[in-house]
Amino acid sequence: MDLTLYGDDSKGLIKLDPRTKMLMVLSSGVLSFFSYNDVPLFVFCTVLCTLLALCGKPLTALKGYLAFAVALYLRFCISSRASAAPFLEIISQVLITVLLYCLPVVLSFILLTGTTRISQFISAFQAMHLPMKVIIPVAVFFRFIPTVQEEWTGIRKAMAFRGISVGLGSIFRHPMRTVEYVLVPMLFSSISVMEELASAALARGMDMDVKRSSYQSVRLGPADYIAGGIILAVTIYVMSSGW
Amino acid sequence: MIEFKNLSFHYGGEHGTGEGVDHIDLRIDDGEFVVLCGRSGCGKTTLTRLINGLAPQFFEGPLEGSVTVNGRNVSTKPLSSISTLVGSVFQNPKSQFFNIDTTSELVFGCENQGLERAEIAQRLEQTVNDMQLQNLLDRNIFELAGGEKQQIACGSVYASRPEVFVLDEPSSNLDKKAIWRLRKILERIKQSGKTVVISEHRLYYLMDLADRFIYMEDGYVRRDIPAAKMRALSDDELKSMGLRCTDLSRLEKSRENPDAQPGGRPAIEGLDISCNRGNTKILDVERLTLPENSVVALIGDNGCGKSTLAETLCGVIPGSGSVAFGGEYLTDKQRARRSFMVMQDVNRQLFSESVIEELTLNAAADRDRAMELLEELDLSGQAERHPASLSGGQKQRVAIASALCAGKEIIFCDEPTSGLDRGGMENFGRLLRSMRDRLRCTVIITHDPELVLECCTHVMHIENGRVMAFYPLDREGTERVLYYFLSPSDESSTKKRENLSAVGKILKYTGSYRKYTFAAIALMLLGAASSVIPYLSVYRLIDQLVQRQPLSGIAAAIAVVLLGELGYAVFYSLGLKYSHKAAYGTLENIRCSLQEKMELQALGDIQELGSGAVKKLFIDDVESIEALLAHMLPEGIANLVVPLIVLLVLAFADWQLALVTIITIMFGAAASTQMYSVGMDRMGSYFAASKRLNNSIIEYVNGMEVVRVFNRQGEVGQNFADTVKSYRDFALAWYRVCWPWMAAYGSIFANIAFYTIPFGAMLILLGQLSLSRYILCLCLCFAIGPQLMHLMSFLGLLPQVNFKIQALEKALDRTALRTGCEAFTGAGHDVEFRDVHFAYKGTEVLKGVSFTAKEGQLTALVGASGSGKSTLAKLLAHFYDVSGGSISIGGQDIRHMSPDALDGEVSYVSQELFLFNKSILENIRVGRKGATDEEVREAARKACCDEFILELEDGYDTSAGKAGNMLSGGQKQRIAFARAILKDAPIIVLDEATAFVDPENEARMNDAIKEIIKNKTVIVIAHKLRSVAGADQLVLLEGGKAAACGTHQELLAASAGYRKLWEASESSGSWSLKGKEAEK
Amino acid sequence: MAKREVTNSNQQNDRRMKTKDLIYAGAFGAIYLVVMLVIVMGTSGIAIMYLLAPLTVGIVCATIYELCVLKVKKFGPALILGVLFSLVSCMGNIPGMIGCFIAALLAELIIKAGGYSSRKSYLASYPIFNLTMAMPYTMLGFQRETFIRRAADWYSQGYADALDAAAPSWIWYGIAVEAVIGGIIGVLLASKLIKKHFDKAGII
Repeated sequence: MDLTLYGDDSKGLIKLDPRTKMLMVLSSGVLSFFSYNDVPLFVFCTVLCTLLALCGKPLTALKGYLAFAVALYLRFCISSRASAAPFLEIISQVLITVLLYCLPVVLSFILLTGTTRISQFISAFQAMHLPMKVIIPVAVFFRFIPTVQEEWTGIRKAMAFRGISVGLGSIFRHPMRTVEYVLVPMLFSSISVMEELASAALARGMDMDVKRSSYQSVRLGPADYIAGGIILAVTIYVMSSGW
Repeated sequence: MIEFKNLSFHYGGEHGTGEGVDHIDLRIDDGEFVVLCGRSGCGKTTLTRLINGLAPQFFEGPLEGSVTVNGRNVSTKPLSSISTLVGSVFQNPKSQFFNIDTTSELVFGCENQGLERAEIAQRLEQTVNDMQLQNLLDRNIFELAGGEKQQIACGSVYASRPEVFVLDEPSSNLDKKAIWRLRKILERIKQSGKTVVISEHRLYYLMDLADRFIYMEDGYVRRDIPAAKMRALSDDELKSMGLRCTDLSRLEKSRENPDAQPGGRPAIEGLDISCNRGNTKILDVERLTLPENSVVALIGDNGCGKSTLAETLCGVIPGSGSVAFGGEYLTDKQRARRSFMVMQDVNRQLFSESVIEELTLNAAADRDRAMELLEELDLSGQAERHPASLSGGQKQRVAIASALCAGKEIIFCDEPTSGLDRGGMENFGRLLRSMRDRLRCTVIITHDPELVLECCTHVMHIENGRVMAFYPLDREGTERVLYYFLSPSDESSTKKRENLSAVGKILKYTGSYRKYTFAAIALMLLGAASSVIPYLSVYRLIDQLVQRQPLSGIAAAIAVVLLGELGYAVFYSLGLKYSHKAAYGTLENIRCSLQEKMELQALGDIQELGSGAVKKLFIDDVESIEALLAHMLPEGIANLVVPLIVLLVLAFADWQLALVTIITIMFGAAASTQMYSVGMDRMGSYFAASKRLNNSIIEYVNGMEVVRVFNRQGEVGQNFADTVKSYRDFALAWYRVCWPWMAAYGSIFANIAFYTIPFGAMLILLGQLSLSRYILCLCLCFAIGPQLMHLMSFLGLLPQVNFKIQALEKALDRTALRTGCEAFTGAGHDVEFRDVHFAYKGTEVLKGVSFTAKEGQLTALVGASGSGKSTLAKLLAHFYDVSGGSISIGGQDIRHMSPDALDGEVSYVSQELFLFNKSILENIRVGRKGATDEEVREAARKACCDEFILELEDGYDTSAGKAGNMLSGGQKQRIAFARAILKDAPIIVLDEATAFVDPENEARMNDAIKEIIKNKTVIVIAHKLRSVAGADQLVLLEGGKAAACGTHQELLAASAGYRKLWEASESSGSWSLKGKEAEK
Repeated sequence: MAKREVTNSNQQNDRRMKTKDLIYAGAFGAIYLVVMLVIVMGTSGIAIMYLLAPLTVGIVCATIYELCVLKVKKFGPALILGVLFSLVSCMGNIPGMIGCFIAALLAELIIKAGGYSSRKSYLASYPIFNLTMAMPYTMLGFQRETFIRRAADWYSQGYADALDAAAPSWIWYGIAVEAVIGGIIGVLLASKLIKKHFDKAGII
C-alpha cells in the first residue's frame, strides 16, 4: 500500500495552490449526492480530469475519465433492459452507483495528494492561519506514515524468523494472539521513534506558541482564481439541475 | 561559553529511572571542541541534554545548581529560544528528522525561528556550499543512506547558525565514508569558531579535532584530559577506563580470537544470488561460500547491499538463486526457519511480556533450558522483566538467546555494536566467540573495526552488490581490513532511486524511435478492430435468417467481411513494419548505451569478463529482447484494447451475458496471474543456468586444443555434459511449474463462448433475450477469445524482458574507472608509485609498493612469478584503479588525467597482441594515427619486422588474418614493438617483450630496444635477469611490496631474495643438453 | 549512572497539550490510520466484510487509541485522532466529518469526566470514539433515500419496495451499534494488552 504522499507538481503544466485543490475535494464530496444527473456530472468529471491532466498526471486523468465513462455507459446498459434476476440487477446497479460516488472524490484526492508536496501542504495550512495545534499533528502524521510502513516490514521479517505467521489461517485460529504479535512490537518501536522525534523537534525550536515562517511559498495565482471559479460554477450548475 | 555550576540532575517524572549526574562543575570556553567519553550509562548523554535544555524540559526531573550558555540559563528558558543558541544532532538518523524531503528539513530550524524567506534561502545556499550537499537536495529522506541522513541533520543545525553544537553519538550508525564526511563537517564547524560538545564512544576520528576529553563515570566528571595526553594513553589504560581505542592503526587482533582452521565443509553456499528492488538489480553475487563454524564480518559502504544480501540468505526477502545450508539446498521459508537475524532495531523482534516467555515462544526448548541459556548470557536476573524495559545491549542478548533456544543454525547480526561502549563490545565479541562452535555460521554486518578484530574469523567485502573479497582474518587479513578502515574514501553518494516500471524502462530505451512504437500501436489497434467487423456483418446475415426475413444485402455483407479481413491484414503488416523498426531501433539504443557504459569500465574488468561473455551480452542477450519488443508492446496493447471495446458492445447487447463473460475472463486471468507469480521464482535460476551453460560452452571450445593434447576429453566432456543437464533441469523445472496454469488459462480463453452458451439459452427460454441478440453475443465472444490468448502469451514475456534488461544493466555496472579530464601537466616524466595497494579477484596482490622510475632511465621489475610485476605495469596503463595509494607521472596523478592524455604518455607493450583484420601496414599504423607510410616502414625496420613482412605475399599490404592467425608469436611481438616505436610515447612499458622471440632475433631486438629507449622512461618486466641486469634501477617485488631497489650490484649485496633469483637464473642459463655435456 | 530515589513532584495540573503532545498525537494518528487502512483493504476483498469493518477495526485499533490517550493524558489527543481520521476516510463527505468530530469530542469529554487519572474512563471513551468508523457509511444512509426515490421514478414502485426491504433503513444505526460493540471488545483486549506489556515495561 503506497499512499502517494510524495507527489510533487514539478511535472504539471499549471501549478495550483493546495487550497484550490482542497476546494475541489470539497465540491466532489458535495456533488456525490447528485450523481443521478448524468450530464452535469459528466461535465464536472471533465473539468476534474482536465485539471488533473494539467497538473501533471495525464495518465491517471485519462484512466479515471475512461472509468467514469464506462461506468455511466454500463449504468445505461443495465437500466435499458429488463432482467430475469432483479436481485442481480440491483446489486450491479448499487455497485456502479457506489463507484460513481467514489470516483470524483478519489480523483480529486489524487489531485490533492499526488501533485502536492507535503511542505506545500504545511505552508498552505499556515497561510490559511490554521492554528499550530492542527498543523503540527498533520505534519507529523504525514511524516510518520512511511515510518510505520518500515516498521511493519521489519516486524514481518522478524516474525518470519520466529515462525509466527499473519496469514488468514492464524487470524482464524487465534485472532487475539495474532493481533498481539503484530501490535506489540509495532507500538513499542513506534513509541521509541516518536519520543526521539519529539525531542529532536523540540530541541530544534519547534514550539506551538511561536510563529513559524515557511520556506516553501504558496500563493494564489491567476490559475487558481480561474480554476476556482470554474469549479464553483460547475458545482452550482450540478446542484441546481438536480432539484 | 558553557558553564555548569554544581549541577545535579536525575530523571524523574512518571517513568523516571532515577539515574542522572551529580555535582558537575565544568566550564567550556567559546570555540572549544570537547569530547565527552565514558562507559555506557555514565551520564554523557544526560550532560548533552542539559546543555540543549531537553533536560529538564523534555526529560523531566529535579535539577539543582545551574547550567548556563553564554550567560543564559538553559534549564528555564523555553526550548524555542535556546535552539537559536544551541544546535543538536542526535544519535539515530532515522528518527530525528521532521520532514520528508531534504530541502524542507534543511530549512526546518530556520523556519522555526521565524526567519524571512530571503534570509532562509541565503542560509540554505551557504549551508549547501559549505557542506557539499548539492547531490542531496530535493530528495526523499527515506531513500537516503544513514550517513547522508546524518549529513542532512548536521546541515539543518548548521543552517540555524547556533553558537554551540551539541552532538550525541552522531557516528553510531555510520559507515566508514560517512564517518569521514562527518569528520570534515566537524572540522568545518570548528574552523568557523563555534563551540562543539560531542558525546561519543568512537574516539578515533576525533583525535585531531578535539581540544579536551572529559571522562565521566557514574554521573561524575572524573577526569579532564587534554588532547595530547589522550593520544599518549596506552590501550590498557583506555581499557581500564572502558574507552574504545584512539588510534585504529594500533589495533591488533584480540588475543582471544584464534585463527580459523582452514578446510571444513561450507556452512552457507550461494549460487547466482540476485535481488531486485524497484526494477533495478541491486545484488549480483555469483558464488558465495562461508565455512563451517566461522564468524564472518560483512563490511562495505552503506547502501552497497550488505543488509540485502543478509536478508536474502536468510530467506526473508524474495530473491533468486540457490542457497544451501550445510550442503542442503533450501527454499526461502526453510532458510528462515533455520536462521535468525538480530536486527538493528531490536524492538521489532520482541514479542512477549517477559524474557523467559520470549525465549520459549515457538521454540522447542522448555523452561529449564531457557533458564540455562539466560545464565550463560548473564541475563538470569532479568528473566521475569519485560523485554522492552531492558537496555539496548540486553535486548540484543535476549534476541540471541531466543535464537539459540529455537535451535537456529545460522545467526546474522545487523550492526550489533553501534551504540555500545568498549565493555559492551567486548562482551558481545566474547559471546560470539563462545557460540562459534554451537552455530553453523555467524555473519555480522558491521562498521566497527574493533568488533571485527575481536571475534571474527573471516571478512567479506561487498561493493555495489558484488562480493569484492573474501579472506580469513589471519595476519595478512588483519592488515588488509585495517587498511580498509583507515584509508580515506571518495565522495560518492547514493543515486536517486529510479522507479521505472518494466514498460517504462523499455520506453526509456526506445528514445527517438518512440513515434514508430506509437504508430505501430495505433495501426495494430485498427487491425484488431477491423478483425472484429466481419463478425458483426455475419451477425446481420444470421439475424435475417433467424427472423425468416429474405436475405438482402448479401453482397454488401460479403464485401464488408472481405474488407474487414483485408483491413486486418494491411493494418497488421503495416503495424508489424513499424514495430520492427522501433524494436531494432531500441536495440540499437540499448547497444549504444551499453557501449558507453563499457567504455567507462576498467579495461582490466572487461578483459576479465572475456570476449565471449561480452559478445554474448551485446549480441545474443540484446537480440533476444527483439522478438519481445517488436511484438509485445504493439500487439499486446491491441490485444488488450479490442476485447475491452468488444465487451462494452456486448454489455449493450445484453449485460448479463457480458457479466458472465467477464467472470470467465477473470478466472482465466487469475490462472495466468498465478502462473506469473509462481514462474517468477524460477526465472532467475533459469537465466543463471543459461549463463553458466554459455560460459562453459565458450570455455570448452577455447580449451579444446589443450584438452586434446593432454588427453583430458573424458573429464572436461563430463563437466560440459553436467552443465547442459543442469540447464535442462532448471528449464524443465520452470516449465513444469507453469504448465498447469498455462493449460488452465489456455482452455478458458479459447472457449469463452462455451460458458456463455448455457446462460444465453436459459435467458432465451425465460424470454429475456432474443435469438438474434444471442447470436450477436456469441459472435462477439468468438472475437474475443484469440485476442486474449495472444495477450496472455505476451504478458508472460514481460517479466523476462525486464529481467534481461536489468541483467544487462547490472553486468556493466561495475565501478567505473576514475578518470579526470586534465591534459598532461606533469613536470617531466618520472613515474612515481606511492604506497600502491591492489586487490585482484579478492586477493591482495600489491600491499604498498613505492618506488620511482626516473626519466631517461631503465627500471626493471623483477621478482618471482605472481609477485605482481605485470599488475604494476597494468596499473600504470590504467587498466584498473588502484585500491589505495597513487601513481603519478611527473607529479600528476594518472586519475586526474583524461584517458587520451594518459594514452599519449604511456606505451604499453604486452605479451598478448591483437591484430585487426586489416593489412599489416594499417596494423602498425595503429600506433600513431596519421603516420606516413615511410614512418611506418622505418618503425618496422627498427623493430626487426622488415624481413618477414617482405617475405609475405603482399608485403606490407598482406591482410593480418583474423587475429593474426598467420603469424608466429615472435613475429607478432615484433609488430607490437613496431607500434610502440611508431607511437614514440615518453614512457614505455615492456611486459616480457622478448619472451617469444628466438635467440637470433632477440639480440637484434635488444639492440632496437636500446635504440628507442634513449631519453625515455622505460619500465621493463623480464624473467631473464641477465637481460636486465644492466638496468639503471632494479626493483625487487616480494610479498606484494617493493623489497629492494637499486642497481644489480647493490641488490646482490643487499638482498638475499635477489641473490637467490640471480643464482637460479644463472644456473639455468648454463644448462645444456646432457649429451653435449658428456661429449665435453 | 548514579541512581537516586526520586519522588514524583506534584502531577502537572496543566491539562493543555504541549508541542510534544501534539507530536505524539500526530504519530499515533499515523499508526491508527495505517492499521485501519490495512484492515479495511485487507478484508474488503470479501464484500460483506466491508460492512463489518467498524467491528474489526474497533477490536484491533483500540489498543492504539488507548496508548495515545494514556501517553498524553491531556485534553485533545482523541480530538486530533478524530480529525486526522476524518480527513482520510470521510474526505468530502461533510456530514461524516462533522459526525467524526462530534464522536471524538464526546470521547474527550468522557476522559475529562474521569479527571485524567481514572483508567476506566479512558477505556470507556473508546467505544464512543469508534463511532468515527461508522461515519463513512453515512453516505449509505443518506444515499439510500435518494436511490430509492430514483428507483421509483425509473422502474416502478414495486421495485422500490423490494429495494426498501433489501436494504433496511436502519442499516446505518446497525453499523453504529456494530462500531460500539467492536469498540467494547477492543477495549477489553486493549486493557489486557496494556497491563501485560505496556504497564509492565513502564512506557505508560
